[in-house]
Amino acid sequence: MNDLLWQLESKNLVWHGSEQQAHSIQTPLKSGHKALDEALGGGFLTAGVIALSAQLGIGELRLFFNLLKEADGLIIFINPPGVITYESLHYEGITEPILILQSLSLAETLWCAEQSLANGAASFVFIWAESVSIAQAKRLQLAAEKGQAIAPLFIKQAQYQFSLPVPLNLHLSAVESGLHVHIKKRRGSCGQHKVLLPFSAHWPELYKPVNINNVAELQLDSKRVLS
Amino acid sequence: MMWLYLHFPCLQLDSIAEDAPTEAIVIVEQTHNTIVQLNDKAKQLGVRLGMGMATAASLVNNLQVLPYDSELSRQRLTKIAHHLYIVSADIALMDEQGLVLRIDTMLKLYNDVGCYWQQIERDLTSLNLTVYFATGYTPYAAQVLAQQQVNVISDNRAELKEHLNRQRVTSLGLSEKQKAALQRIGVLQVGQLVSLSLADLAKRFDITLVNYIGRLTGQLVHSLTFFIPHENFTAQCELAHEIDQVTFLNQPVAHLLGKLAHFLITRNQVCSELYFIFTLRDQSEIKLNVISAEPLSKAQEWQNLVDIKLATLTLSSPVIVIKLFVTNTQAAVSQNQDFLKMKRGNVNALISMMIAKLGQERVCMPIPTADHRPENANRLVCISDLSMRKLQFEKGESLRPSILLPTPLQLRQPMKILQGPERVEAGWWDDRVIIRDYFIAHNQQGQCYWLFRDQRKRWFEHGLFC
Repeated sequence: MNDLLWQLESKNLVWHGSEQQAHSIQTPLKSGHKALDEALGGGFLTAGVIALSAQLGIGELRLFFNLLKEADGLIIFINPPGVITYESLHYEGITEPILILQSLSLAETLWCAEQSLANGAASFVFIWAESVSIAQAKRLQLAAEKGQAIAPLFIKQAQYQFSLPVPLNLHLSAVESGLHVHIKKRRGSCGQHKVLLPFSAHWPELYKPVNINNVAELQLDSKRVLS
Repeated sequence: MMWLYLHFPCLQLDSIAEDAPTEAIVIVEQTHNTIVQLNDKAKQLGVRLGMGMATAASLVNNLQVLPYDSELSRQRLTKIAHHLYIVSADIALMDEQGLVLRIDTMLKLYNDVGCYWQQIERDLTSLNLTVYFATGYTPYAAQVLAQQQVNVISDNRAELKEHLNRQRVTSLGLSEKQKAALQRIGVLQVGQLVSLSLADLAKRFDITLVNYIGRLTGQLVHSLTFFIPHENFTAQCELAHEIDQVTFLNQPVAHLLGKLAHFLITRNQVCSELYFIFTLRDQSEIKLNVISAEPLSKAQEWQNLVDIKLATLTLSSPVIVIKLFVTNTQAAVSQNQDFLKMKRGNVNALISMMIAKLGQERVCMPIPTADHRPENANRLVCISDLSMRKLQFEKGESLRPSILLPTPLQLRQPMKILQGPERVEAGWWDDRVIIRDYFIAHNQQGQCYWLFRDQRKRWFEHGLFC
């Protein structure tokens, strides 16, 4: 019997009551967005993978900027789709050291993500992966728990038909005045929540148009580009 | 003066990795084509020292034959001297097979010869070598006894003399011609020879023999050049079997790293870069250097990094020799860690691991640069000086996209402009002048882009506000 139990445990198939207790004791991290914090039952977990499906450039990183300001430890970006700019983080007042690992294959991305999370030196590990299997997501989750780090994991939408076995699954989409967050699955709660984050209040430049003469010209230009 | 002589008859054989005890191995001296070293298995099968190659090959069908390499033996001897230097000060290399250690100067530290030998023996055991030894009142006397495998440790002058006198003159380090000449006049044992006066010998024999006997008996001064250890670490491992799979390289590499750790720890030093050279069968070489963000000395810590690096290696043909070099070592400085913040892992260890896996060029950090050109202001540098630091600048003054495209792309879709223009005109001081008007715009899916229009009114996408 013990043998069997040990085997199951080594495969992480045994759920310990004590783990759950430990999770609930930790004070959640406030995201800085009231509506989201309420929907998440107080805020983000202090460690774990957050699976995100989102288009590029709709505010998916800005969602975490308030947390990054408070971060204590290295911030790592693994395989970002472009050059992460120092200026944007600087503008938001993010001061923790930053490490960027770029142009990686999928296998390298996952290896680096797991090592960075498990090491414990990192507070946030942002991961962009083409596709992640259930087993790989589980591995990342275990590493994140071991190293007490938060790992936002950006996955392509098309691949994302079912939710991964991580504590939090979010789908993000852009709306006129900010970001629409659809909480698809959250550990310890039932039902799905939808939250609208009014980013236009934080970043008016990105949402509120000002009167510009050039708009007509640009639209003209872009038509030419498309034709 | 008192000396200890260590005779290593099978140095080359011992230096071959010891994972092939089932095969008969012999080392052949190429000019005379005779066997100079052989392992136990070969001995069991009837092969003897001094035997010809052909005879040996006819006795054992799968005999493994290696050419004798005097350079290798010499290197190996130097390594042993290095190893013993920690416990004994004056060490001299005698020929390709022996070391002579001066004892009398060390006795203040070790009390008596027995204690001294205990220390030396303990160190030699860890090297796993075949060794014969003897003490003597002159280096040559100790050498003769050790080479004859007398294995005597004593400071009793009479006893040592007794041992020496019993040896045959053929065991002396003389040429064959000189030995024959001695035998012709009826001198068969060392005892008979040393009883003759040097003056008498000089009448009959040439000066080299007289010098030798004079030094053997202590009547003439024997000056030796003592060994001085190197500053740098180099080690080599000749593989008994060719290795064609990277995973099997771990074992010999671990062996080399163990030696490195011994070298560093005994000197209280650390190093941050290792150079490996793998010699392949086709004589090509693979160079591998492993960098660590923080200086290390322990074998296990290095092993972790080397394993990652080895996994990236592809072998075009099997490896036959592995060399390890370390050029820069520094004194170990102990670091104080905050006891209360022990939870946090080691940043440097993490970075070392990433560099080992990905290579230096893909592990970057942003470096703040005072420049208005977005490409320059957001430059990434490969971590070379490996000092992670906090971003220590006052709050930025303008909103910038969080992701820049590696190169600006021509506009591909209709956009709705929200903000702009912001003129960026810079770079007149070098040759990369830019004059651009930047805008913030949304596309139809609500993605927030950073666009610019150049002087020729062409539109480009340059970044995304993620």
